Amino acid sequence: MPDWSIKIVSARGKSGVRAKFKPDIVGSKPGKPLKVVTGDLVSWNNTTDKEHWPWPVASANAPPLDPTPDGNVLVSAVIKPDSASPAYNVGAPAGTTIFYCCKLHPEERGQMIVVEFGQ
Amino acid sequence: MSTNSLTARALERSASRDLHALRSLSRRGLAGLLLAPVFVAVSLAGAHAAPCLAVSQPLLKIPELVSNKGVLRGTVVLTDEQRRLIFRSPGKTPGQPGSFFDCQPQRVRAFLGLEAVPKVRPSPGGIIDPFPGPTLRARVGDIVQLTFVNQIDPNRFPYSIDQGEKRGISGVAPNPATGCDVSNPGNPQAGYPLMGADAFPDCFHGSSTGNIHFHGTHTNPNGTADNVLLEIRPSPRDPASREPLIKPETFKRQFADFFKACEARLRGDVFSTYPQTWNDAPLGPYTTAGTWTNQQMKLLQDYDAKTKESLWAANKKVIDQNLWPQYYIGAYPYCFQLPQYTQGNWPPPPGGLQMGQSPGTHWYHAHKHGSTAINVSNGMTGVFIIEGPYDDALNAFYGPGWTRQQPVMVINQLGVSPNLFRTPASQGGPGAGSQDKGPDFTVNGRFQPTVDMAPGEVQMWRIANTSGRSGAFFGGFAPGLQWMQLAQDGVQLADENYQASKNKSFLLASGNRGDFLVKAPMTPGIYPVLVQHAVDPTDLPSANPVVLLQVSVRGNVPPARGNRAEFIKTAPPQPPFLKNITDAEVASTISNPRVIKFASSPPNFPVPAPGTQRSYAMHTINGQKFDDGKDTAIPVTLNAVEEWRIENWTFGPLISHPFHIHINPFQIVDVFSPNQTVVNANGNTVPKYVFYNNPAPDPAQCYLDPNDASTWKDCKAVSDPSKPRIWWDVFPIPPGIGATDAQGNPIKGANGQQIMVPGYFRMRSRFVDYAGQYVLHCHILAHEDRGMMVLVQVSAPGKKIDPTVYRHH
Repeated sequence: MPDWSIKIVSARGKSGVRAKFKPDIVGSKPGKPLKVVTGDLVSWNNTTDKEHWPWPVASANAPPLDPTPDGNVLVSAVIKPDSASPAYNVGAPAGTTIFYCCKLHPEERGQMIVVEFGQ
Repeated sequence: MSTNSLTARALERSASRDLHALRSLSRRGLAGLLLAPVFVAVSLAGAHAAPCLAVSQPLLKIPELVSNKGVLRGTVVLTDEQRRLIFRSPGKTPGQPGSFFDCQPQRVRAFLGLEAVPKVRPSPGGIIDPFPGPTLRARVGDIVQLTFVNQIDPNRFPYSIDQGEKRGISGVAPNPATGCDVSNPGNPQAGYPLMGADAFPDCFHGSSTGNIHFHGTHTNPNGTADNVLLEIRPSPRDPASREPLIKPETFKRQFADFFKACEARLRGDVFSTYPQTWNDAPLGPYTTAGTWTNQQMKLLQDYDAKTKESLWAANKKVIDQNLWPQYYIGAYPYCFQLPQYTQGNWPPPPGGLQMGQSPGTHWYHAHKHGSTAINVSNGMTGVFIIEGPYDDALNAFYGPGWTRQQPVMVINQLGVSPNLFRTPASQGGPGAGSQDKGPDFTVNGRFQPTVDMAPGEVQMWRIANTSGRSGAFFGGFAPGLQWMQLAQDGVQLADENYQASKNKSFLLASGNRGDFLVKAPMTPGIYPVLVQHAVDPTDLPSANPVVLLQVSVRGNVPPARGNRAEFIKTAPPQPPFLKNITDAEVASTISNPRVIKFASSPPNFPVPAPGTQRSYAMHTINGQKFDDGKDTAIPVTLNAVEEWRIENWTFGPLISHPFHIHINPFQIVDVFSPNQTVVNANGNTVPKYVFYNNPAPDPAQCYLDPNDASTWKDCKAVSDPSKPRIWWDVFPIPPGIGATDAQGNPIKGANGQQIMVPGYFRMRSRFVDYAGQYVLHCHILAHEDRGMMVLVQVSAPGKKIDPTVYRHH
């Protein structure tokens, strides 16, 4: 099954968001959701000069809770600048949207949409 | 070699079924065998899915680096690149009915040949489809001078840079598994490797570190030659641009000076193992500013300061023993000779080469312990064609330059990461999902490509199975196609074996190569070449035949004529050093062979105590995983000729571990496959070996005394030492069996446990010409990464190297 990397890239917009999540796929744009299939592996590549920590949240705008309701996380530790996270193994079924934000900067938001194989 | 009974007719029916399945079941994927190179739209709803490249593409011409005036020069860049990979679902096994395919842009690690031609053009839409590393083409006697540059950006993959020295990453509690790659479904206490028994360094790790194993070369295993203990870390990157700071031209001057010196040394002494230390000019001395080794020292120190590792200290320890260190940053110069045997007969006069490099189809691949499986599945493999009198003989028959026009076929199971990274459902993960028997084969990165042939034409196919898992069993080509085998594992067959090979089924296990003459039928049409994925012969009855490639016999070209339509009458003469290894040569070991025991235990065996961690299957040699600073190397005296018995203590699931040893090929003396079946006089398939009734109840069977290991052999084997034996560098070891009585009940030994009988083969090899440390291992590369490997230390008398000096991660 496929593997994916999501870049954490510096953002220069006026929104106050200083970093965005960008699927590392040619042609993809910052903020675009990553479509995954159950079983895929995902890692985050911190290209910024700040630490970040992708953290699952209940919905697009929900705050990060620690511990999470089910105890599971996406990445077990902060991702230091110029480094990558271990692999997160997508276990959610198709039809699920995995919302996440940076635990350290909750305004930085991302999504993974779990689709059926071939979609 | 295999005697599987699948007939061409059965395969033909299977092919029809397979094609039908592809046509009818590809929901969005590969819509059957279309001859025109069209693109099939897939996954319109997907965010990333790219249309799969249609099947039936012309076989890709792999870019080549070709030697010139006795020197193979070039630059091999290890990079990461987004390529379009094919995935199968829901089929766990290739060719499984009901499966369909999807293509996704995936970042992979890849070898690129900077000067290799012709260049591979992107597919329409700018998409890059997979292709192997450049084909290397040289001639026996040539010097190989390759600049290797590692420009992988490790951050584009899950955290995998070697961390053995750190023994820990934040968030993961220190334990024996620390240093391994980590994959889990959000629970750090689940997934790989924490819920298994893998421990560093025998686990998946370090996939951004590179090196090259020149598989099949008979050369120096040290220094800048076929040295797989090398670890070349990626170039550091510019913090702002993220561009690699070490480029192909960075050390151009130093490497040019070195290559010149290296060539002079090797031309002057074929046994030379120059360079031997970091003080050897012109790469050193490392204490002199501006030399390459001095710059490497600084790069390593910078790396250590940033990562808190200790690569420089490890190197320094080795340097202080006047040995060649193993850690490098960014770039490395490979320089070695393909030794040419110049004597007209064998044995040679004292002091001469005992063997030479066999001309034939060899290959190269990533060989970093802990990441061979992932890197090879990414596509870090390529063919290494070593030409010689063999090619001259073929060209004399088929025409000047003919061999260089013939197809080169690199089989691989392309993928991105091992199945163990998918957390089992029992641990809260999604499960292994599909493809747990590995991805489907591709050829030169293409799925079911097409080879054009003229009616009646004979082509020479150089086939390398570079996949890290499956053997490719060729039960029979499509009716009408005929073939004869010229060479096995890059070593040409004696004429007697060539003549006997016509239209015989064969297995190319992971790592095997074969050169075949293939003759097209006269009738234009499409002729599929079918294979089955197998890691053991017992896989075959249930393995789906799949289309590996297809031959298009064209009706718009004139039929082949003359020799181009004929199999060469006799095989090219073998070099004299390929004569059989005689009983007299191995007299000292023939009655007491060295025994090498491969073993896999199944998951959760022995059954873990309640509350303890779940284990994965374990893979060992001589009861141990690959050492790290321990003296477990197999000691061999330089120029010894030995007979070894390679045993397989794997009893279920049945796995024929493909045994591979570097540097020297070997000959098989006999094979004992206790799970083998035979067809008896009544036409019934029965076990060949039984442990009850002496003599065996059926004349086709052998009786094995469960309490007498000396009877554990093939009672039907006929060994004729006058017959030329085939040379191999990969050979599957038959798995073992538990002794049972006529009712199928276990026969127990004095210890109360069932008597287990290993499968084995006996082989002979000449450990000649080059001393040093190298390895033997299972060529199912996930097994190798997880410990099924051992050092072989070939030493001149009185010159043993301390095997603990090198680390293996």
